Amino acid sequence: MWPAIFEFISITFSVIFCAITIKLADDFLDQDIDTNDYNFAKRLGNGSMLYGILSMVFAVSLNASVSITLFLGCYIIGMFHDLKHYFPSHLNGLQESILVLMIGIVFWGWQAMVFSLLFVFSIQLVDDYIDDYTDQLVGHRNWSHRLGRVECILLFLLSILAAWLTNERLFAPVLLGAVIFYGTLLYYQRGNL
Amino acid sequence: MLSTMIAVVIALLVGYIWGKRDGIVCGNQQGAVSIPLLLRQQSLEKGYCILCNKSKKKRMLYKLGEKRGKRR
Repeated sequence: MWPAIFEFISITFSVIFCAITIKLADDFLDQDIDTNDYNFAKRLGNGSMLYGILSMVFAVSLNASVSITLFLGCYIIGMFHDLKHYFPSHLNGLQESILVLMIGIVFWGWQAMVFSLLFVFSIQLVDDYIDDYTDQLVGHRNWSHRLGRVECILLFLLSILAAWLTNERLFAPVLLGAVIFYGTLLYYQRGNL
Repeated sequence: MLSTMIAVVIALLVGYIWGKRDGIVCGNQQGAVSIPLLLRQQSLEKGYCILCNKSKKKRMLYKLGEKRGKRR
């Protein structure tokens, strides 16, 4: 019983630490675009990337397969907006995504990668659904604008159910970690923290 | 259970996208048919063209002027 509970809690905290890394990396990349005061990179300065790496180290220490595949999933999903854009690696977004996906499958197996991709995609969809209005004001075109609000929420349901079907053992702790982190972030962004 | 739920969501998504697309096409066709009739009806009711703002009398005089000009 205790090993099962410990595994559940370790996966949940691993997801939370991984989410902190992704949030810090995203804020670091978007610090010139973001106009609001809730950008962590602006508050932490150049140290934000270092804190991000530190958080990723904690996540990997708790559960390597979950945290690394979730990070790779975020990297691939994040590239979807820049598929034709060329990066310093001289590869475009699509080529980098495929390369990262193949490396992830080789190291962690297809099931873990597909689970992470579907889970991260569902989080991206629900985030875009919530930020629909604010992104429209800024001029950023997200999934909710591309697909439509109802399609976005239905696709979110579909991808999260598909993730559940792909790996039933990991789904509950990963979802709990994502809900804790996202809930805290929303609470903070509304000025309650 | 999970597979059934996924099948239901896929059916909802496909049905919604299909219905929305069909609605857009149908609405465009209906608009293309009814707008010229509505424009004509409103122009006749108001006595002037609601697009170019010219009265019927002025328009007739303008057309007559055009014809005379051509004869010259």
